[in-house]
Amino acid sequence: MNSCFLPNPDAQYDAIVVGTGISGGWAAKELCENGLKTLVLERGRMVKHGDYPTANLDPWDLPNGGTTTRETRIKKFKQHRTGYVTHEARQHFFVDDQKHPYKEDRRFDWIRGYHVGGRSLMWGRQSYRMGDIDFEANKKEGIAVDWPVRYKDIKPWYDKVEEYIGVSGVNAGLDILPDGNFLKPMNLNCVEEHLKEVLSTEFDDRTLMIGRTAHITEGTKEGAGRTTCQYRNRCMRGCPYGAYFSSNSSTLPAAEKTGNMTLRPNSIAYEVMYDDATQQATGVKIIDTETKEKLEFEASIVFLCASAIASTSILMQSKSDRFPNGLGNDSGELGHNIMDHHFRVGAVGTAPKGFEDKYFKGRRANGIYIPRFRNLGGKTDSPDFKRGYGYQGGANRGGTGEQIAELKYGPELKDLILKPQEWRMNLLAFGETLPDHSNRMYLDYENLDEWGLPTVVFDADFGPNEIAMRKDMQEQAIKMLEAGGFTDITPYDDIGGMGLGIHEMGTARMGRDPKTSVLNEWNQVHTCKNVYVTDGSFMTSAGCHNPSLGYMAFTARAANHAAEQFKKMNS
Amino acid sequence: MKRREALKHLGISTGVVVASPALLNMLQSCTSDPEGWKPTFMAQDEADMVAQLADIILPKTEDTPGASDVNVVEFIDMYWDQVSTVKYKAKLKDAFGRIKTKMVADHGEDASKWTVENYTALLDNGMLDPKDELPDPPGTNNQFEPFEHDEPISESKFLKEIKYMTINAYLNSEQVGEKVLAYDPYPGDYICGDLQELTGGKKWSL
Repeated sequence: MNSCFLPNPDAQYDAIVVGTGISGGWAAKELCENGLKTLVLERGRMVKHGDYPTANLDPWDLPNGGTTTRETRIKKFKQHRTGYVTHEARQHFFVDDQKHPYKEDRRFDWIRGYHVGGRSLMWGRQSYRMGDIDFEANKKEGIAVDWPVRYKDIKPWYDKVEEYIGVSGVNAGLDILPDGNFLKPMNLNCVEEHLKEVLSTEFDDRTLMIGRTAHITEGTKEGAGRTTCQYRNRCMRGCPYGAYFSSNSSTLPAAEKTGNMTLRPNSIAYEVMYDDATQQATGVKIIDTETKEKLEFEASIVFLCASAIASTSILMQSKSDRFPNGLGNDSGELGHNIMDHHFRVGAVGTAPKGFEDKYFKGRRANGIYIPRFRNLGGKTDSPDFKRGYGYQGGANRGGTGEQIAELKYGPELKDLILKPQEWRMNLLAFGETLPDHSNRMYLDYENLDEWGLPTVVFDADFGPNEIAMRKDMQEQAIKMLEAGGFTDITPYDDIGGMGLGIHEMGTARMGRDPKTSVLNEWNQVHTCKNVYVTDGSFMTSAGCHNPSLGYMAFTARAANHAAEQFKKMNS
Repeated sequence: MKRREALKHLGISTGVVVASPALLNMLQSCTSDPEGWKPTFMAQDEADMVAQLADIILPKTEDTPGASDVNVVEFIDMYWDQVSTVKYKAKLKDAFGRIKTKMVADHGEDASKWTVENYTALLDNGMLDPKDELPDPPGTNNQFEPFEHDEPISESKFLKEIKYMTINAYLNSEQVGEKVLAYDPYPGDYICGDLQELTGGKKWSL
């Protein structure tokens, strides 16, 4: 299929990138490094690398040890559903729900950060590649539509972004979790090593490894000063060492260095302008949140990287005679097929005897990973559900133990609270969610936000496949802990709301056929080739692990595709 | 310069650290002078009662400070004031009232004459064993006003609230965090090893 587009001779910029998070930062870097004059729009305030006011504060430097205050909870009542993002050391990077409302026909926890860098500042940093088992699953099972790409198409781009950002971890030689070129792994602790050993001897289908995480564990990386991880585990406050990857420390400084980037914070993009004559986008309309002015910027190429829900909302607002239901929405799939990973299920157990004299040093912002071992063929197949799940978690000596509960007061109680508690090992499963057309978001033109723009409404939930999978997610956690001699095993299962995984995906999916999908194999809108969408909205299926590394790889690939087209047109 | 100092310096110098007015405010509020301190949420007699109980729960011993040495009452007062729901605050006030009535009935009107033994007896008799206690109904101190139910806080739950708040305040104090527990703001690595060698048997404060 033709993927060409024409230059826009009136344009002030070669390209516009909407959003500065994981995807926007990569789009900006790749486009600028290819010589394109690029306008980068961000709806929120400026945050430069280093603008991390709480990064060096200890609990006693924060009121109430950092516990979320009533005032914060009231302002950020939906963000607070996570239970952790509103901690006072990090809540300033999460939105005020009173100021940025949305509605829920069915519960959806939309966790957002409106500032330069977006959620790349507060992300979970776990970095895994999707493999052909993921890319082929929809086709094999006849679910939704087929991905228009395979692992061989995206592998070089995974290589490129992994190398640039720095990912620590180990290779495992598994089809389900393609290997990469990793920085030295972080260490497992002795209880995790014990469970690893047990899994390798007692099970023939599963393995335990340290998480692959976007932290520099040796040397330095390019950017605004990126050096090795100090094991402080304060990542979500912003890292003064630039040890984990963020747009602020890495891709935006790279884009800036070229001299080709114009970064414009406080700019809410709300519409992609479309020209019927050329059948192409001509640019983007924005509202300047400081002057309240409405402005238009023209470019030859538009990259939407505003996050799945926000980019989809922009496409929906981009109405024209040609696209009465939103730009590129001939299929009617725009806004549908919302996915998130489901988790908060698993089990915790107390380590067997023999580890009481062991402890750790350092606060590792990482945990264990047990890659998917379900539905990979043969005896791994489950009759009850499709796809699979992996486990994160780890062993720790925290918390308040039973002994503390039993002692009422006195010197013995004091001694007890000053010692490490018993080792507890948590196996927390993360599972794949199937795409389902009935899971959707749409726009509410009755309830406008303070800028007069329509607000988002969610109507989505997990389905029977996820619920069936959760039973196995819990059972297998218990089984592994039992095999390891763990005691006091406490299973848990609290699915919460969709969105809690903070992995919104699928609302402008890729596909082979414009009749059933929004984007083609290069992340271009099928019917408007100079618009690329490279955030989570392109995901045709979810895989079972953290998706951000894939957003980076697909964005880098799309941006280089766009730059190539652009150079061809202008040569 | 020590490694730790150097790292801290490096961390700060990689960018301009912008402290918002709100942050400066809260930093100031954390370093307020405990001399002449007046409770905000609690009445003075309630704060005195919490101080007595806190020092029984975590008393001063040879090596380590007691609860009031590290200002746990100030911490608890601010926490209840700024963190608890308005509804939970009312329940706390109600519970204070019931405990006061009980102490007056048992030991007389004059609170200044209530002894450590009297307070200890309150904890001994009032705090139930976890096994003998009914679980909290859903929505207890849920942190969201609409979910907070109307059932009063039982005497046992109230005393346990004071116990856990005391522990929380104690462990989150600078003196305990930096001097009593093992403190390492810039560990630089993650390793597993011998408990005695790593921390002398103490837990990490961070």
